Amino acid sequence: MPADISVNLMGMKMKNPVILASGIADVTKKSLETAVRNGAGAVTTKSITLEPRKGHETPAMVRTNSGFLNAIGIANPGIDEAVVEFSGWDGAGTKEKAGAPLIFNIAGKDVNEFRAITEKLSSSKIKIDALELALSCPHTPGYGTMSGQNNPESTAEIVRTVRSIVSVPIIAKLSPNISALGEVAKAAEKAGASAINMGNTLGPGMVIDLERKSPVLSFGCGGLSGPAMRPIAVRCVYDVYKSVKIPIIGTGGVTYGKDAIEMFMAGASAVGVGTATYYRGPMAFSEIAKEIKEWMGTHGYSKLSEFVGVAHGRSK
Amino acid sequence: MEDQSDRIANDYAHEEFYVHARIKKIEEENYRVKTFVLDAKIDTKPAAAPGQFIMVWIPGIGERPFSLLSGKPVSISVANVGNVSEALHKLKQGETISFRGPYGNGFEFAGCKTRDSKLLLVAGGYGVVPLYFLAKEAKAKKLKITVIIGARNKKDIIFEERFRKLGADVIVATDDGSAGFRGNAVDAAKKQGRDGLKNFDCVYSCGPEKMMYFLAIACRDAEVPCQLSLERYMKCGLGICGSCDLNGMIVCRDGPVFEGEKALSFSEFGKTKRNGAGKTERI
Repeated sequence: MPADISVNLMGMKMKNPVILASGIADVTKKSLETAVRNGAGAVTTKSITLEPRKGHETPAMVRTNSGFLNAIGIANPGIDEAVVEFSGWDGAGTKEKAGAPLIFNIAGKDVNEFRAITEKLSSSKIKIDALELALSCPHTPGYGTMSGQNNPESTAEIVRTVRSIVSVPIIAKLSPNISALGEVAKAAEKAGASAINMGNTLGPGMVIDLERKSPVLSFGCGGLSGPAMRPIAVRCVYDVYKSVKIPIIGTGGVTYGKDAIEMFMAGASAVGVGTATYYRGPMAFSEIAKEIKEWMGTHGYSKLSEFVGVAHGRSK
Repeated sequence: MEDQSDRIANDYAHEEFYVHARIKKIEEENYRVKTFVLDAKIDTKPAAAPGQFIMVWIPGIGERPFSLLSGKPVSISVANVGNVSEALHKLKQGETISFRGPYGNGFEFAGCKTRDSKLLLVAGGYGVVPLYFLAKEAKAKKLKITVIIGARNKKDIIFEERFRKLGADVIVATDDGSAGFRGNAVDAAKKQGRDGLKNFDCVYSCGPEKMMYFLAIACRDAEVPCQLSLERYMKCGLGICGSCDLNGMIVCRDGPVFEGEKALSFSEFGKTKRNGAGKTERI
């Protein structure tokens, strides 16, 4: 019997565990449809803020040997425009291919902004499958880790507030840059989060151009994504798995099927994929899904759940 | 056994994101366009193609895409219309320009490779830049070239002499009739010879999107294949950030050159574009 790679994540039915991560070609509904066509099991929107944001001046992205730094600066059209843009999501499936659930990602400066965005979202006609809270952007003043949303208290307050407004599953997207990760994850779980996305980009880091004697990114520094951060992302997933019972989405450097397998063994139930679309092209989602299935076949697994967290040994 | 030093060189070499090249020559094309010829060659295989672009970085100001005028040597023509182009215009011969690329898919000669092939190039304003690069390649293949250069006014017509020197038939069209045909480039194209667009085997265009939209429709009606160089708000140029989205296509990676039929299948083509925040604006 061929391996089954479908997942039920927080009640969200996915044909495979490969999710388009937030921030990668996802500002428009049609770009999400492209990701579904290219095999994504679920898709995440760009982080949406209360007001439109043009983001940082370019260069906003720079490549290094094994990853990218980005300081896009949460460029997005704002919640009022976004609920129109992403409304009417039907999974973008076809007769041949199953569709994919929509994860709506939001970013606020503080709990009040998260509340305001969520209220606008819930009073609009948009239908989403899950709401992801970006508590972890490392390169935008006033947001994420640059506004201190990386401690248990702030995380709990934001999750609890959003939970009181909407009934859809809530995903807390955390930063890999903090030491008390387990405490933050636990706080999110206790406040009503349905899953943890572990997590955002690493850093921030910096690349200096030797001839110009200047940082390349116009913001100076940016979050690291891609293969360079994978071992850290795996360790973060491993740590969070020890702390919470809710499912984990492992995000950070997943480029090949085996990278995803590593995330599952660390405790992830699904993986976020973004930068891999540069290394492997837009079909990265279906390629990674295919490789997961092949690996399961050669290793005698029929379901993903059979090896989620196995790296922790028999007792969790 | 593998040489350890090679492994280090391959896996951990310090990656330079930009090429830094001296400006060999600056040419003034008109009151607001300058051509920069750099002391650099793009030696990629296949070679840099007309329609491909480079990202030019001015530290402290920003980074913008510019269509290649030539890959060997690397040359760009820049209209002074924004902060980065303004900074470029202030540069002098001998100073340095930093760039990365080339990126994107360029024009192709598919279906127009034989000596009898007749090419029509339709340029609007600064759209002449990639089309001149294309014309040079077409000339090397001994293809027959007709070019229409359209602009609002005589003073916005550039590259007319360059194209003539290549031996192309050049038709100038201005909205106000201050030079050549009075009217837009698409109308001029339709009036070519006895059969208009049907005279040609392949049509190539770069210019304002409305112009290319009507050209694509005219080409469809005339059953002539066309290729268009489209533009959207680009940030990374690497196919990652998605800011240059056009109907779910990423223009920097999937374009910027699209076939006319493909472009016409995009509901946003000729109608709307996204600003830096991803908000829809009318074209």
